[in-house]
Amino acid sequence: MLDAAMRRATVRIPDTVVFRALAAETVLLDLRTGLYHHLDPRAGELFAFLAQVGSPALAARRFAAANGAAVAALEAELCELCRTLGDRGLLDVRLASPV
Amino acid sequence: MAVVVGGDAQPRAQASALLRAAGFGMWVTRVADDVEAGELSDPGTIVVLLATGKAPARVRAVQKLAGSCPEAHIVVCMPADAPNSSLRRALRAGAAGIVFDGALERALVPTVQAVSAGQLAVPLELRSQLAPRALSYREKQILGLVVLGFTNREIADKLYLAESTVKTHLSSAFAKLDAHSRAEAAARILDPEGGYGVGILAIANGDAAPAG
Repeated sequence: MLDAAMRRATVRIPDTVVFRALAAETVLLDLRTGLYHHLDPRAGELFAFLAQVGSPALAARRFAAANGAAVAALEAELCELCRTLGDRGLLDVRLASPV
Repeated sequence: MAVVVGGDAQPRAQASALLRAAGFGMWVTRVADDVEAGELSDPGTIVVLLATGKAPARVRAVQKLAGSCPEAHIVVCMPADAPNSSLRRALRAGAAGIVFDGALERALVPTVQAVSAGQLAVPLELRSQLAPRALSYREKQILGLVVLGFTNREIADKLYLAESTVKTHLSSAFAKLDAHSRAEAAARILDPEGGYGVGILAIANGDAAPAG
């Protein structure tokens, strides 16, 4: 139930968070706390897709199309990433209303 | 065991005599290269560096010596008028003790004894200077973005500031970090061994956020 809401959620990077994709990782800086957060290359790639399209479901479809991966597995991975980043205030997650 | 290295003949002789009288096993050499060449094999040996010249050159001498003899404990003589930033740099470069020129007789033996006991020994004047000066809320934000490679223009846009304001905050932050450039500041922040570590940018509840 929650995953279904998360898949259809809209997400955006808060104004107080900046990120840079570096060679071996993606670094997020929370300007409110001054804390850096590090994403491994895989999470960094998914995060960049999320930042572009603003929705886990759409990001999963586009990522799958670009990389030939299974959409369902990608959706689960993206939902988990959104939850983790949302809990840390690094992503604004607006869950979809139940249909 | 103590090694007195470098400097002019007179202070070298004075330092050697003081340490010998205090019971230290000694050898004395005029050139640091003798020490750097590996003649210093005993870990924990105190090297008293009597470099001549201005403070920056002495800091470089400490750095070079510390690089070639990482096991040694270095006590360096610094000019009495050296700015505090140079003294801090000497410590960062690897010195464990600092004695001012002209204070050898009074301070050398106690300093060497303290360092050989595993203590850091610096002139009292440095007491309030050892900890990095606190960065303001804005300075932390701006430095955080500098470390990520943002330009002043990008930082100004991100934080809704004028570019000149960003430059002012950066100048102030550089002074607090003893840095002369963005690269030097970033290196100092990112290196937890020789510098501060990114923790210095953490914004605590007590840090005042700028209004607006």
